[in-house]
Amino acid sequence: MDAQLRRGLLEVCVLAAIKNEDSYGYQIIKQMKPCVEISESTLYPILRRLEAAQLLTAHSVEHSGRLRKYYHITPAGLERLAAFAEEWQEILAIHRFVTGEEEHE
Amino acid sequence: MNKRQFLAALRTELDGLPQNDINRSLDYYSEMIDDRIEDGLTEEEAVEAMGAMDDIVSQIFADAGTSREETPKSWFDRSRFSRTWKAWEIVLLALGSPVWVPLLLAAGMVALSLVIVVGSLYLVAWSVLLSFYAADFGFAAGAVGGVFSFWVLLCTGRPIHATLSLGAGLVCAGLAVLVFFGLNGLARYTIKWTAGAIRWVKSWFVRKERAV
Repeated sequence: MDAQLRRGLLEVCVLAAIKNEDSYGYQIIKQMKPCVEISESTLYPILRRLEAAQLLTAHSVEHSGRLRKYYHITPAGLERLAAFAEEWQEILAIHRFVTGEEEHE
Repeated sequence: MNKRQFLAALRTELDGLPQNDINRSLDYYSEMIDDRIEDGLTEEEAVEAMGAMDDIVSQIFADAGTSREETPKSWFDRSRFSRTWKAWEIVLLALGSPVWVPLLLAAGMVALSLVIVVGSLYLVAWSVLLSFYAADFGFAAGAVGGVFSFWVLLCTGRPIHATLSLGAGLVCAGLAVLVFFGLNGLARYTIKWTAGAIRWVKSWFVRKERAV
């Protein structure tokens, strides 16, 4: 898959994983597993970017004597998810266009 | 690699980034490893699950918005030499060459001799280790000799001497085995140290060639 496209898609996946409930790194990876396999090293920059764009926030919670970082979606993050759902119709149309053209040849 | 080694290696690789970024990255991977361990993996497996160090590092650098080549690694920063020189800088450099060229050569010689000295130390360590193995082989030979002379003495009707011989042979055999395992342990350490030294020397030359 195109790198840019994949990165954008992974970002909305991560947002979706924390949409209903705050989650932490490893759990996000597990939640995304049925949809896409992502490694820790790929997830890290995604989380950083989303945080920089203020689509999510991070806070530390104590767990078994260590600190665990939980991520929380912001209203802007929720907007991004809604926008993606709308964009999807456009993507489907483009996909139809691209594959449809090949059929007519 | 265990968690401590992994994080130490990561910290070394991230050298040059703002301390904040480094700490954040270390915290992140420390947490990831701990979570995997909680999930049932061993420490080694958890570290392995993080993936290749190269991938991890290039992701962090890419995210930080800098390429590894731009971040100054040490006083010997090669990128400093590859920018365009101004005219006055070139003139100054040429005029000053009778001073800095010999100094640079002298510094180079000192560095080279240090490398040779340290290298010889490793050679000495290895020679000593090998000579101990040779001595151990001597013990094993003694064991064989003991058994052989036990047999000869027994056949020539000297049972007491034969038993003494066998006893000595067995002692040699025992010593040979014990010393062998002891030396193996020493050898493992020596290999680790030598590998570490080689890696350290390599790191001086390999840094610039890493791709982002």
